[in-house]
Amino acid sequence: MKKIRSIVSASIAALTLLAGGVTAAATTQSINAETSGDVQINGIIGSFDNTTPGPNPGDLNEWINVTIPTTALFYTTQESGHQEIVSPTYTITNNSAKGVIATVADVIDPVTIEPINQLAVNDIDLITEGVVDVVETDLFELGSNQTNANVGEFVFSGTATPQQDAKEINPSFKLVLNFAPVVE
Amino acid sequence: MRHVQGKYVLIVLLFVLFVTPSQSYAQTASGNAATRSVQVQGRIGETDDKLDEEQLDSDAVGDDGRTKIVADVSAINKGSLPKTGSEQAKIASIAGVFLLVISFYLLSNRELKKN
Repeated sequence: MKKIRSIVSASIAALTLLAGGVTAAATTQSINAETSGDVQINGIIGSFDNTTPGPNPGDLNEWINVTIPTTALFYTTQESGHQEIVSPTYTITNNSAKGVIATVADVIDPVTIEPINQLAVNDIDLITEGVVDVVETDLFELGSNQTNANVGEFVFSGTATPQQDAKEINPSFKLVLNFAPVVE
Repeated sequence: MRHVQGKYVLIVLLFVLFVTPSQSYAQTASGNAATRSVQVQGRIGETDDKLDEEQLDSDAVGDDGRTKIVADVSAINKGSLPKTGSEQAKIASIAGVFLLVISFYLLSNRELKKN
């Protein structure tokens, strides 16, 4: 019985906190010299579906639904004497009913990046003179899945200094991307 | 009962064959996952075992006009060949699941017939 009471108390406390959070996030209106006012109530029943338009969930990040590549590749061209870095074009697709801002946040776990003189993704610097050189920058903003602007492209470009015998070197790293929903 | 089992097996097979492989090419960040990373790999320079086109034009063409392609064993000895890809491993695991599902289905059928 004591256990049930404590569970009920904890649940009430959690619900109160949750309700408080929602109230704080809501916009306000002033009622001045009037005896009534309307409050628009929007509800979510069932699991939140971020692919269809609707009211905002408690955590706005639940709007995020993007598809990104698992791996990406860049390489030097033979025509440039293996000094110019190019890459295929990769896409990020926004599946959410809200727009999303994709940001280049960081480069982590770099391996054998010393031969890279300069590497950028869509002109955002990642590596300079063999050292990670990233400033958090917006990559692009994607529209909702209701628009035609929900797909963004990115490519890698830059320069490298190959070994004397142009023998293959395989640098690698993880490109960290941040996503933020565009919510009014 | 048998019809329902057949449907279940079909759904599992469709999931294994179509849904699982498609997830290996891209990842979806959904709900509370505001940060994701992409593994980036590069290639600077060229591989040793690249075919020399000039050599291919002159030396490798035999008297019968056929082009001879000779395997470069040195690359194998150096261990510089690509390692077994994850796609192949996935195909093997899919085949394993497929065999398990078939075995389960056959065993269930046998049990039903016994009853």
